[in-house]
Amino acid sequence: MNDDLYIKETKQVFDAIVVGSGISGGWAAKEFCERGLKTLMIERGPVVEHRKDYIGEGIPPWQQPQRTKVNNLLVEQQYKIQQQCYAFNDATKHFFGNDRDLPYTTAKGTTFSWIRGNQLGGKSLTWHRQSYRLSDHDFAANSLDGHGNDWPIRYKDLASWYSHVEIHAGISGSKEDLPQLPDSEYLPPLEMTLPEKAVKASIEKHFPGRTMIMGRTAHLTKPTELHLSQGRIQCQARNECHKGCSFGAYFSTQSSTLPAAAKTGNLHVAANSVVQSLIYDEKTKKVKGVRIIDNNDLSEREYFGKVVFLCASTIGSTQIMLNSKSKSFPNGIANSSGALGHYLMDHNYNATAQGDIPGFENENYRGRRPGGILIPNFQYKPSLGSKHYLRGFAFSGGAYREDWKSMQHADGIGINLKQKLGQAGKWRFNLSAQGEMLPRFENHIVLHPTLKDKWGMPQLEINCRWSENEMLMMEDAAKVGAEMLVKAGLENVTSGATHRSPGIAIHEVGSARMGHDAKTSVLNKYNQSHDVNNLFVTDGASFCSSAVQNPSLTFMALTVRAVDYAAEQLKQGRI
Amino acid sequence: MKNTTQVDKPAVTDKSRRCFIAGMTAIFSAATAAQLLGGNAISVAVAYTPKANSAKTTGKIFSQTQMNQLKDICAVVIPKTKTLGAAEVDTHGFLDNQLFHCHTKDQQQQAKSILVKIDQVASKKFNKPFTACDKQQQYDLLTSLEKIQNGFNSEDKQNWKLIKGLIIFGYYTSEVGASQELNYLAVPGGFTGSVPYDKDGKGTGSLAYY
Repeated sequence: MNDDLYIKETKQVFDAIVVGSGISGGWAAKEFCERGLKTLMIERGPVVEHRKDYIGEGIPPWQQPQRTKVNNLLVEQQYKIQQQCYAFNDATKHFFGNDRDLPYTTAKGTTFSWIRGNQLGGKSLTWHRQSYRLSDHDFAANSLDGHGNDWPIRYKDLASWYSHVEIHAGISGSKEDLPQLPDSEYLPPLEMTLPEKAVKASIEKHFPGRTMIMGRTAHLTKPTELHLSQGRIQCQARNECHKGCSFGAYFSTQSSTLPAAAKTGNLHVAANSVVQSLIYDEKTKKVKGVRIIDNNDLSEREYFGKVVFLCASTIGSTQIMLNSKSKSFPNGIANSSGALGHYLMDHNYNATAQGDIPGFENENYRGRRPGGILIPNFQYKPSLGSKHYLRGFAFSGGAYREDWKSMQHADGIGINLKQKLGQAGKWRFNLSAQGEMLPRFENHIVLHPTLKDKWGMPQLEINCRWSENEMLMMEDAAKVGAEMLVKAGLENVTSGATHRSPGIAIHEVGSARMGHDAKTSVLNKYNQSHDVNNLFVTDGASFCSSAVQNPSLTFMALTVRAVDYAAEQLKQGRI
Repeated sequence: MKNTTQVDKPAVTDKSRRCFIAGMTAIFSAATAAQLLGGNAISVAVAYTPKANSAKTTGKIFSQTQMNQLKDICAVVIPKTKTLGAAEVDTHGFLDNQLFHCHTKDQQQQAKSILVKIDQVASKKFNKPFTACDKQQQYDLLTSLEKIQNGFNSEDKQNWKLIKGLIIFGYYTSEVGASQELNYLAVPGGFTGSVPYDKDGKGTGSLAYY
């Protein structure tokens, strides 16, 4: 990276300002830059340089201060919420937002686990890399059961953009021709273990209409020439991705989109720049730029651009818009509809089923697979749905051999214990549900009337709860999961529904939804705000429904499609 | 059998550590938390280095006598075989350090109280402290603890599980436990879904999340 890449003060008026440097922001920056447009990508947190700043990578447990555990006091005082995340440990904590510096509240009687990053690359460093296309069944779901508004797009609008991002990013998976899960441009899928293949065969035999496939992951199982030319090599199956990967083997801003953007010479990056609000010009009815508060010294500055893309994460983008008040927009910029902040959703991670797999004593696997299997949603249209609740869920999971971590709980000490823990244990299989959440007006975010954060910005109050639909779905998912495992011959099968907060799936979407009707939505079908034609929001905030699929691949596709549209509009002088 | 590949890693920046320490000044205001929790977030984050004399020094949590007792317990739970055991790799020293940094005052108290109870039962049954019992007596005593016999009760077993869990965690995250007793593959080279498992083969030591 050259020294000019990172800037602080500048008077330049950029063609495009991109707020956020994560999954969505990185793609927006790359696409604008590659079209010859001078682009400023803004990140509220500090720089994280590929390889150089992966300080937790490759450090074995005995070289870590507490063998991967985080100091108690540090967790309590700075990571009280982030520690709920499965990926949070001593070697990854620097890629999580500091809860002491980034407080928020939840409405009385509700909880929400807002898991987030606060550094260049955002959650593209710490995501789980599961990547799926939405289907027309997902786009039609709202209009079919009346919850939420109709998506203003359909699969055919996004298909070529999905391909575009997949070829660059590298998505591994298998062609399945499933109506509810369109295939991607693939690298070879990760391998299934033999017990997984046996469970798959059982599911397909006993439950027509259901299948089990290898999860589709943004990992280079077999890099193409394009990937190799980017300096990215084959995934080494360490499964320590959240620490950062110097092989560039999974998709992140650092490994993939940022280098491509920087290569054009059109990119500047302003890190440590918290966007406080958008600068709205009442006369031209356009956004002129952004107001910044410095992350470190709280000084103020401004950046100017011809078009502004908000890619600051679902809640982050909405927060900026709510905080951008003006005469024309007393309730937040581009909010003439009143929909801004509303229809917040997350995926529901509250049902599991698990059991022992008899046999396969002589079977093992080598390496730490960075993704598991998927049982795609088989209730993907109303005629296939449950009688008791709307929409559906998928299962992720997989088979593994027990190790010392689970085998230690049984009684026993001495040589027998050591012998047992030194070997691979029995095979187990688990399933975890990922359920769709209905869009509801009442699930929303507002600015807190009085509480402020370290940068003087109003804190958010999040008001989001599961409805009865979600709870019934999870109870059913636990039963359905157990039924499939019992049928597959598993022993000691257990299952159950839990009551974890919304937010913990880290797939929050909605709150600045797109729609045909400017009276009930914030954005049009190109992620362009109805009210302000040079303001776009292309991250999860724009979603009309949560679907069942992991959303990140769709963030990427929506973003690149919106850039293509915006760049053309700019060229034609229409924005 | 080690399978390690040297990854050419550039020098680690100290920026993150400086930010970490700079942020510590705000911690002084959270006195209540400090009282309830163990740990010292200000202390320099250095990996626990196994020491030869942990059993002969006062720990952060345990007295010197308790450290000595803990060493013997480690030796019983995971003894030396072809590979070193928990005591040889100073799991007792690790345990003391880990309880201090990552566990609550309540849990530290639980750990101390089970050591006291073990000594009480040893005195009653063998007329000597645990460390003066021979290996078989020590083994029988701890086995009876797990069976809730000999005057041990279920609360003792819960407290014991905390200690035993930490001994196991400490051993299998130590260099010997993770890379000699088990297979530690720092860079596996890719995922293979089906390989034969040799009955005398080892389990895998290194996993992403401990």
